[in-house]
Amino acid sequence: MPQSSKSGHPYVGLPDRQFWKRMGGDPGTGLFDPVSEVKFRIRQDEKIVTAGSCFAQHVARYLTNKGFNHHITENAHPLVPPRVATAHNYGMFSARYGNIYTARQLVQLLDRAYGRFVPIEGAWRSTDGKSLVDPFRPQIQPGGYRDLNDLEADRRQHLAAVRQAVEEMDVFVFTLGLTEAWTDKRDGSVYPLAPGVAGGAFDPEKHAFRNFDEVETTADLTKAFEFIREINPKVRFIVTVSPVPLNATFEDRNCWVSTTYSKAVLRIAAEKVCNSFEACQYFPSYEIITSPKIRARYYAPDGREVLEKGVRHVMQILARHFFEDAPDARGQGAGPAAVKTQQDAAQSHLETMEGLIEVLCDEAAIDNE
Amino acid sequence: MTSIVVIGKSHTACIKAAALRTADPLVKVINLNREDDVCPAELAKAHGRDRPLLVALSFQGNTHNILCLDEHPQKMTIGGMQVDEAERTSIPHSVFRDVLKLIIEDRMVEFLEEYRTAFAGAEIVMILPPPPLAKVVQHGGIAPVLADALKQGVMPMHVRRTAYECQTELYREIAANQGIMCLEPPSQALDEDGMLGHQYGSNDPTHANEVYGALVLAQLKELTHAAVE
Repeated sequence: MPQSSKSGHPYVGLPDRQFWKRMGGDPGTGLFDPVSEVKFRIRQDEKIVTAGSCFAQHVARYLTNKGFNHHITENAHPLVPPRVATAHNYGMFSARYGNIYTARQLVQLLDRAYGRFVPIEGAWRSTDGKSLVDPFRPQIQPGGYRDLNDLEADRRQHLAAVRQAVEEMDVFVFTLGLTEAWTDKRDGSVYPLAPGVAGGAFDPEKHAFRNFDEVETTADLTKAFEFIREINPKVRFIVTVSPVPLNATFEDRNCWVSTTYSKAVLRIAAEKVCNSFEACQYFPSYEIITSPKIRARYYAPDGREVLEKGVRHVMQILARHFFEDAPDARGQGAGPAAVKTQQDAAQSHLETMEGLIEVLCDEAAIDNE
Repeated sequence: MTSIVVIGKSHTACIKAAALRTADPLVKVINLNREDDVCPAELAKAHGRDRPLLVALSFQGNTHNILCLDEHPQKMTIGGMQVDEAERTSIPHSVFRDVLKLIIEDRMVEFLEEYRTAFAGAEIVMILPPPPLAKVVQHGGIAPVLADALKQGVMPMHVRRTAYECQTELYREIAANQGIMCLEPPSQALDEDGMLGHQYGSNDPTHANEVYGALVLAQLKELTHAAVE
């Protein structure tokens, strides 16, 4: 630690970033950049897997759009046009797990993917009663699943895609979002949404509210990362905390008070985990968006949603510090390009088939006449 | 005087063949694939005051075949259906339905509205396409133009049937939203699995033959009689 014997106090000579008035980032003076040294850099060809809360979707989309190698392991079948695939949440994250809000959810996703945990609840009836939903990603499939076969086949593919992502990724970016969750008392399953919100039925005999504290969250995140490292020792981690406030709290208090508690817990867990793992870096997206220096300009009028300019700021800082050779906006990562080739081939094939069937129709007409 | 006008594309060929055989003056079949620049208003105008009682429309009936007749290099199934030993990617039912919807819905609604406006006063009916054949014979008998496209093989019957059912389910919904009646495939032409009976198939696996066309024509005539009564 730099110290000056002449000045007599330990702050003399410390970097500007350690002082509020000199750390930069005041409005109008350029981008606020709170990142110090990072433990590793990412090459453009390295596979990045993303997961986490709502804010992680912004990160994932940015990586995809900017041509980084956002490693998508669960793609729609090539017959499915991109518009439909996007509407059905393919490519939102590396696999179709939807939002993973809590560290416990991440642990259980890994356990389910590797056959270490089979929850009691396998399917929920949708809220309109017309279809089934997956309790662990209840909003992933617009229109729901027609029956158990439909759901289970998709889940098998999904969990295989999770395994593939874990085994192939070079970098895992995880965004911690919440501490509040609803669990199944019978086996400890953690649901991303309370039963009854997007499927299932709330049953106080079966379901219980949990608000994970910093000890539990740290333990869960540690467990998840240790498990990932066992399977894929080379993986590097980037941990962030979502700056999006809670949409609702089940605690009997103001939603903002619950938000500050949750974010504090997540921030502590992130710090502890990053300090205990090699090649595990905290990235301050939460701090960039919520900094008083920014004067809340990155929030939408509802004070909750993060605006695109905020996401852009966060991602520019991420790219500046982590990426060795940031691709330009037109670049294509290896994953999306490969998918596009398959989709193009499928589209071309469909056009051929359509043409052939039309020819057949003409032939038939000639025969019949 | 014409009491029934059938308008559409490839699936009208079998109905046209049946109508030509009986030379029924009350039936007119227009295969738009064989006409140049025919718009609904012109077709209606051509009938002058002789407005038909029934206009039966048949469009885009082969989308299920375009998507699911031949095996894709990445073998697939719909809704998790286990159909054989092959490792198949399951396309969730809702996803497949939205693929069909994207291809069909807007165009279909546009067609229906155009024809309903052009033939105001006539009963409008949507003819559901014939189901696929249970067994597609790839060698011998198949139209040569398609044989090459089927080199990868034909999708299993259950996948093809599910694709067809998805499409007809969507058609029924579109028709119901438009207040239009759907004409179901004649039940006597279906086998026990709900597929097109072999004797009703044409020389290609995507269209029915004249015998099937005659059954549809009989259904249409029955509807016309019912309307008159």
